[in-house]
Amino acid sequence: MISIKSLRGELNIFDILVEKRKIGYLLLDKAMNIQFMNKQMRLILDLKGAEVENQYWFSVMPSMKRYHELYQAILAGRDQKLVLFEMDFPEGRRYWEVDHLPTTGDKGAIDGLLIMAHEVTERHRMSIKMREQLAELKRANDKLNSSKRAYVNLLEDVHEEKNHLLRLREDLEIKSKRLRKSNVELAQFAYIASHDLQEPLRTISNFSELLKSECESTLTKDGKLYLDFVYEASDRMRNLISGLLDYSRIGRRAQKNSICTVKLLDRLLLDFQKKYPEVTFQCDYSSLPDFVGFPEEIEKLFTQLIDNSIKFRNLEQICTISLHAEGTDDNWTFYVQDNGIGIEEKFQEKVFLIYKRLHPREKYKGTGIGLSQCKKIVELHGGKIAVTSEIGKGSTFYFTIPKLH
Amino acid sequence: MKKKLSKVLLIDDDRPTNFFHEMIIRKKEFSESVFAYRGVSEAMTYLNSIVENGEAFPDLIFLDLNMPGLDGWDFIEAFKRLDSPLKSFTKIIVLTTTVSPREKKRALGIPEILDFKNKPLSSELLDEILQRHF
Repeated sequence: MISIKSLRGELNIFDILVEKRKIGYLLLDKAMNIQFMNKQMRLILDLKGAEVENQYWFSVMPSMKRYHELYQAILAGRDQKLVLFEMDFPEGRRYWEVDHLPTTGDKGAIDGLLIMAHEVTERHRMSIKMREQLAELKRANDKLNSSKRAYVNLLEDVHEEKNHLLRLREDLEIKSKRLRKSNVELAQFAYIASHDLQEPLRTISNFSELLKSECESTLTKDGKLYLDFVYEASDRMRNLISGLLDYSRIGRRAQKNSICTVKLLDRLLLDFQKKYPEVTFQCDYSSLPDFVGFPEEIEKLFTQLIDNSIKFRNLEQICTISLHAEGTDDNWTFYVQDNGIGIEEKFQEKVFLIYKRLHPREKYKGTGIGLSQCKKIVELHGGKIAVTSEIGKGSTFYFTIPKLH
Repeated sequence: MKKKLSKVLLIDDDRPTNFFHEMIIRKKEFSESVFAYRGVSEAMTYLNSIVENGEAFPDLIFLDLNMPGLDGWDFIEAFKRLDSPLKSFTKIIVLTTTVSPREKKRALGIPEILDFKNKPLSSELLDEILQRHF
């Protein structure tokens, strides 16, 4: 029980006690007149030196009118509440916890109000800061959780992908085995075809020739013609079979090596001069680069293309063949350009089909295998081949060879 | 009286084949006349000329599918483009050494093509054709 009388008596001791805690306090009577205000309260309310004793509290501090109901409630004996009081200062907002205690008179009746304000700015700011930090922590935690979930999902995806790759690898191994087996069968087939088929063919051509010479005198003109048909056909078949055998052999047991293209072409052109002694042809290939490929196959490729250029030359012009190359980071593109008879647009894709010929046998010899061999060789290297051409003007065969990295 | 066709055309790039087929047709007296051509352009030159001069179209064309350059399919395209009502009298029979079922199906799907036969022509084959289609 606090009484005004006793308080007023003990104020000095009280003062000393509260001074250390920087508590400001204020004593009001029932009529809301200021009985006493300590130094600290004066500081808080910025009332230093002002005359406040016996002044009406709400005149001195009109802003306190908002607590009027609260005071009345406490004076009426109801429980007091802790109030958080805030005030703005130039250096920032400050906070006080304010206790409201009723004082009792002689007969035990409430006769006044003791208001005690205790600064809690630090604590309050700290509490706000803590709440902010807690919120941030929660956010960080949420982020971490979602990161964790993302990570778990990623792990699952990786795991699934790994399984998928394992299945693909298994599949690849099976297919690879099958392919190896198929290749072996093909080689066997080609070998058998070449030997076992060639023999009866040789019999046919040999004996048709023998028959012709043996029965020279008794054969009619038609008879001789028929034997010529027989010989030519079996000879043709032999060429087709050996061409097919060649085709199947392309790339078997081939080893990659560095190819000096210019040197290769020096050699090939000497061969061509011997093969076509009556033909004048010019061939420019000096700018061709060295590259890595299957040497035997590359030799076959250039041989076939140049042979075609000479074979299908324009008879009214000097056969001119020019070879050059363009390089990117990934590929070499080689061009074999001639001024020959050309190829019609509708045939420019078909020419690469095996056995596909464009001209009658009497006009141009050949099995129709050459360009399909070229295609197989280029594709063996991982490249592509095609032709652009104009009838009567010439053709340019071009193919890519991927560079080794 | 034995049936006899008026005009037969042979289109094949292989000289011995044409020679042989022509011989068989003549021996059998299968038709009044037979002409052989070694390629699409030669055959079309002939057909274009008879469109001009009003000569009769062949009753039957034996067509080889597999020829160098323009092949049997190309001939059919060119034949379709011929501008003459008389060409509806001409029947085309495809001759080939290929046994590809896909090619047979493709051939029989074309209305101008009557039948699909394996080479070589023979007396029996000619009888069958005469009986079935004429």
